[in-house]
Amino acid sequence: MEQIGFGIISACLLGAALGVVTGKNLVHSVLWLAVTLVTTAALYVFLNATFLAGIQVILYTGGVITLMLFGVMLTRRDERVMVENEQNGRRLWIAALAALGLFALLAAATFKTPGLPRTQAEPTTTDAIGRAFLTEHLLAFEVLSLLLLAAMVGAIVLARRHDAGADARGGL
Amino acid sequence: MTFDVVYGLSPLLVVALGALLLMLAEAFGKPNPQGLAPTGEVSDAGAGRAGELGMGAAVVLFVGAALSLGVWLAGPDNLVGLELTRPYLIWDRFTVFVCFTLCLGGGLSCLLAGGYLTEHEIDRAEFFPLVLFSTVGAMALAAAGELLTLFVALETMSLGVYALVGLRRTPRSSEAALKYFLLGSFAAALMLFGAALLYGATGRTDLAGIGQAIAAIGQGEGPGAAQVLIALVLVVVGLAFKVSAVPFHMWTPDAYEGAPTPATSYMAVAVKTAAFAVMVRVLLIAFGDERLTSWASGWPPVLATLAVASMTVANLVAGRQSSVKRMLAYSSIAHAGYALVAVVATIRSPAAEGSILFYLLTYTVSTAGAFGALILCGSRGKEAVSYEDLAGIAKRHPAAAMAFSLFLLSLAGVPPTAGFFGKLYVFQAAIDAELYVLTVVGLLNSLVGAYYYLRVIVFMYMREPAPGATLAVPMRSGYVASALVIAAVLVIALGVLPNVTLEWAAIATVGRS
Amino acid sequence: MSPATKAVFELVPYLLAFGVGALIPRRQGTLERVAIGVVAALSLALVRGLWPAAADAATPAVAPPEEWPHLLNVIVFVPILGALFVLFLPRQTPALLRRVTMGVLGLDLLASLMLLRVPMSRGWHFQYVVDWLPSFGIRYHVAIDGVSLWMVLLSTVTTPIAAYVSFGSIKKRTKELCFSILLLHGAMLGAFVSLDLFLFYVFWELMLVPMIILIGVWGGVEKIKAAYKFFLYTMAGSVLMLAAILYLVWTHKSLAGYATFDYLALANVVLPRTAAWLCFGAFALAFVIKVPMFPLHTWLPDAHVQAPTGGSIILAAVLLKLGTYGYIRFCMGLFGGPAWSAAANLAGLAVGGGILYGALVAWRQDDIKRLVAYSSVAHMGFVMLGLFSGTRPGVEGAILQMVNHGISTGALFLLVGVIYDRRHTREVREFGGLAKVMPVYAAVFVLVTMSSIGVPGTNGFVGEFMIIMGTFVSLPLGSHGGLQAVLAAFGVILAAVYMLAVVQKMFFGPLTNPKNAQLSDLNVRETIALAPLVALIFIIGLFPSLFLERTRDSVQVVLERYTEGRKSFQEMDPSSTVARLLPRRGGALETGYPEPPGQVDAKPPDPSTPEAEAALDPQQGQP
Repeated sequence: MEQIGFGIISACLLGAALGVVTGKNLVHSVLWLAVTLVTTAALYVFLNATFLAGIQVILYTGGVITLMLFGVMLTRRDERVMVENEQNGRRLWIAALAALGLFALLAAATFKTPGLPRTQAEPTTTDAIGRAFLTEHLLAFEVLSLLLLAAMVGAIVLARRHDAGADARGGL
Repeated sequence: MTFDVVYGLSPLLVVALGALLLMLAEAFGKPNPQGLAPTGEVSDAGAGRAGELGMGAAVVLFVGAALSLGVWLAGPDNLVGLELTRPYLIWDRFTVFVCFTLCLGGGLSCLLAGGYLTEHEIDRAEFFPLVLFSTVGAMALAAAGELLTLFVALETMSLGVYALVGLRRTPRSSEAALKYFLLGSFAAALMLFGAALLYGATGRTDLAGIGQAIAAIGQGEGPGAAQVLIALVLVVVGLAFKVSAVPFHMWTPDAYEGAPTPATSYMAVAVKTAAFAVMVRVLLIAFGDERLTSWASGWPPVLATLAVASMTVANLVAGRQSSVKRMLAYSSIAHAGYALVAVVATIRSPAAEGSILFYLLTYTVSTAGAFGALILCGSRGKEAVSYEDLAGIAKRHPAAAMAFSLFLLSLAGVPPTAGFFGKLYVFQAAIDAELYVLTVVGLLNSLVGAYYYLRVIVFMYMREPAPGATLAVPMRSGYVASALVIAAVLVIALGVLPNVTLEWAAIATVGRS
Repeated sequence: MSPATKAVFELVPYLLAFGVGALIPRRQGTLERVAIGVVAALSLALVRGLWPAAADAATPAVAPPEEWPHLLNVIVFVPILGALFVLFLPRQTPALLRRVTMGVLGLDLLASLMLLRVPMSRGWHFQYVVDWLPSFGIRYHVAIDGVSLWMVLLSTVTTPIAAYVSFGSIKKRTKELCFSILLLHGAMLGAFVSLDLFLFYVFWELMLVPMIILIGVWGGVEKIKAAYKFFLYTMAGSVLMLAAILYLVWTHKSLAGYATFDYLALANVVLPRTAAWLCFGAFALAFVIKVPMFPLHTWLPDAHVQAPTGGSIILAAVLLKLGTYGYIRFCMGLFGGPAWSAAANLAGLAVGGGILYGALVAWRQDDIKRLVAYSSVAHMGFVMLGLFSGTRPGVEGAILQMVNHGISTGALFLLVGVIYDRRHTREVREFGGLAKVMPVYAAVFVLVTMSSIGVPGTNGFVGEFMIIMGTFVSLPLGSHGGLQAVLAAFGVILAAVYMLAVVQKMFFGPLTNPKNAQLSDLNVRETIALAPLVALIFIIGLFPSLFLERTRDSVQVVLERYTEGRKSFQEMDPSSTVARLLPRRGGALETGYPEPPGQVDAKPPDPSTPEAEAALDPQQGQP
């Protein structure tokens, strides 16, 4: 039963991921991405990580995807920011090769793994995660707060209007 | 106890605090009407104050460097309170030495930016908080002794730099930022994969614990052995991206060229230094098992291949560039190759860790100086990027040419400059480790490298500018000049009297078991 | 007689010389008169210093005068500090820059003449040792013996001449010129006196940049290509040498337990066969490129032709000597075995590729400067042949010939520069019958040519004769020695052929080219520059023992070390891969031998004190 469920969800996940990269329309891609994220959350449920699943849905599907949709719809078409999705044959092969290699590596890792040592039988509670963050991982948590600040400043930098100087020169 | 922790971590704390203060200063300070762009656009309060903010950031970072020195002199081992932070942050002599280098590199880049942003009227004083945040991440990364901290620190360091690369918003710059961001995230993802596998195989997240667990697995050819190997590959690839070793260097030339030059300087010195520090720690502590450090079944041959590829490819390609900035980007790849030689040498030579640290220090001062000199040689609208721009500049601005030559000679490893000792120490460690082939390849590569550094000098001193070409006019900036003076003094001091620094580098080890 | 009056009496000859020089009847300014006077006085000092009787008379024959240990430091660092000082002088005052440069070089010459006051017995003189980087085993260790003495004097004599000539013809970017010459001078001197391999390498590399600037900034049309070529050739040799140095040091460390870069200590390391061959190859490559020997000589003609006159003089007179000096000191001193075994083949190369091929190519040249450059290849072939012969006369002759080559080729380049300044061409066919319009110039040129081709009575004869003699009886060359000596003698004839042919074409016969009719003869500056060289040609030619007696003991030591190195190399089991460390020899030769660091300071310096640097206690090698 578990196996079948896993199979279905994985198939959905892979299909959605393919939809993201092959989609021509940006809005469609974003929607496919939402499907990917939700199915990932479903996988987390299978792993008994309910908290993670919840966070996944709230944060990514609820927050990030909504923002992205807003972003896509509000941006006017600016040629200079567009990233061309060119279909270069040679590059495609190289990319496919690299992806296959990586896949083989990871698959090997998975198949060679004899089953993880089960450290906790209980599902991790929000409570435990919170405690871990503020006790043993406090330092990482603090650094994380700086990370978020840096991300904010960085976002402001990138989102601000163009420099007068840069426009005047029209390039490097 | 508390004092120990606060004092020990003071470089980190000061820089973090400085970042917050600068952010506030940038947001709520008075705009400077003189420094504004001609359009008079005022988008935030810190506009037109790049110079002052740059000075502030540099002061913060130099204070960080001074505090690192203080912590070093007090001896991190004597500060018992620092045990509290283990294994999340391992605050040993190795870390403190790297922190000093990072603060120095960051501080020099900030000084350069203080002059550069003003001169080129890039109204983005957010540069400085970003550099400081990134430096905090870099220091934490160098100290990280646990996978979660390591990853968070890595992202903190990288995120700031992604934004720095895209600071200018020109198509070139945006492309560079996007490339760097995508490949950087990819590398981070690979490392994360590796970390997950490591956790799976060993059940630990701290590096020392992982090391012990791997040693236990290794002896019995246990079931996790293959997993550990794959994790090793993934981690090495992720780190190789960060230090931009060939063949994971594709992003480097574009990102370095597209970024504003002070940001390039910061990427070349600080990001690389921190990445090497964490690489040494991860490889020696987590993968320091006897089996994994042997030529037959471990990482040394992989890293040796990376080293040879980085040195050779980068040096050959660098010689064919027409842009000096791009040449310096390739040169930084080549230098990563030399440092990788020392990383390989750690398997047998106890001096190798010290040689990496010393090398990174000399590399930091020479590279920051070289980028600084490149900045100095250009002015608004006439940024010097290509060889042609530099033709005959020795006549028009001898001091700039002289400084540039000094840093290039140091990069080329000509005595008596800092770069020479850095290379000497690295190759001595390599010979200690009986890596003769690597040494000879490295030395021959430094010959190739010397050719293209010399080319810049030839253009500056011996060529005349083509008739009708736009002449690069050197800028006048106290900030850039002071950065160059600091770097030049260090280059010469480390070249003539490196003794104390060498001795210090020699005792700054990661304390492998 | 009070010491003061005695000093005055001693000064009288110099004052006389000064007066004679200053009062030469010709129209010239006060400054020039003073300069000529100083040159005359300095020349007298040089000659008096050379004469053993004169030296004895100055200090009654009780004991050799005290060796001032800082003398070599002064000689090496005065030019380097002078170069730094020049950097801070304003570039708008070229006259001041030139005067400062000449002053520094003159001071250096004077200081180097003090070296002559001490007879060169076995062992090291003016030794000075201080720790530089104790953690690496790197020390600042300088000393001279009878071999390096002449190299030092050669550079302190020729560099001022080269600088003086350059100031006559180069008027642009004087500041860079002064800086380059001074730095180059200091680096060359440093390389000649270093006994620490690291120090030697530092100075060796330090020479590169100023020389490139000399070639690349004031050179001819193809200057940049020549500069690159010079740089890449030299650098290619030296990086491998660095690898070999590091390997030697590492071997010494694993044998003796402490790292040192000191020549004296490393000379006691006997490497296993393969390693010894590889290290010898790396060192020899670096030096052979610098000499240069066929087939690695191709950078030399380009560098010479493109370099300005002053650069050519320094390059020919001193820089090439570093290759031969390095071969004597390091290849023969550190790797006696491989050097001995390779000597026969290398000697064949020196004769065939250097002496004969160089001479034949020189014969075919139309450009005088290029001709002199190739003749330089041939002459350096002689020097190398003498070294390969491994016999006393051969090596002594080689050292003498190094000095001779510096003097005569330097003078030839100077003379070529004179005619180039006037006509801006160096093609032989542009000239003819010059003796009629420039009699003094022609006379000097013929004289220098005589010296270059080794006519008896000039310096060239002594050196070449000794080398050929040494080759004839050479042990390592075995049965080939005789043949090679004969071929080398044939090379002397060839040299006479091509040099005299040029002299004939340029100076004699009818004055065909009307452009040459108005050429002025040597001017004051050129005369001043040439006079000491011409004097030296005769002094060495007529009194070679002045030079040879100062080198004799040192050559003996070099050869002992060479033979000993060969013996321990041959005693080594060919299949062995373990290096050996010979015991210390002791005696005067080993003063300054590095002691294991443990005996001085067992505890590594405490890193927590910034005063760790104070541990660098200057310890002097020689009492």
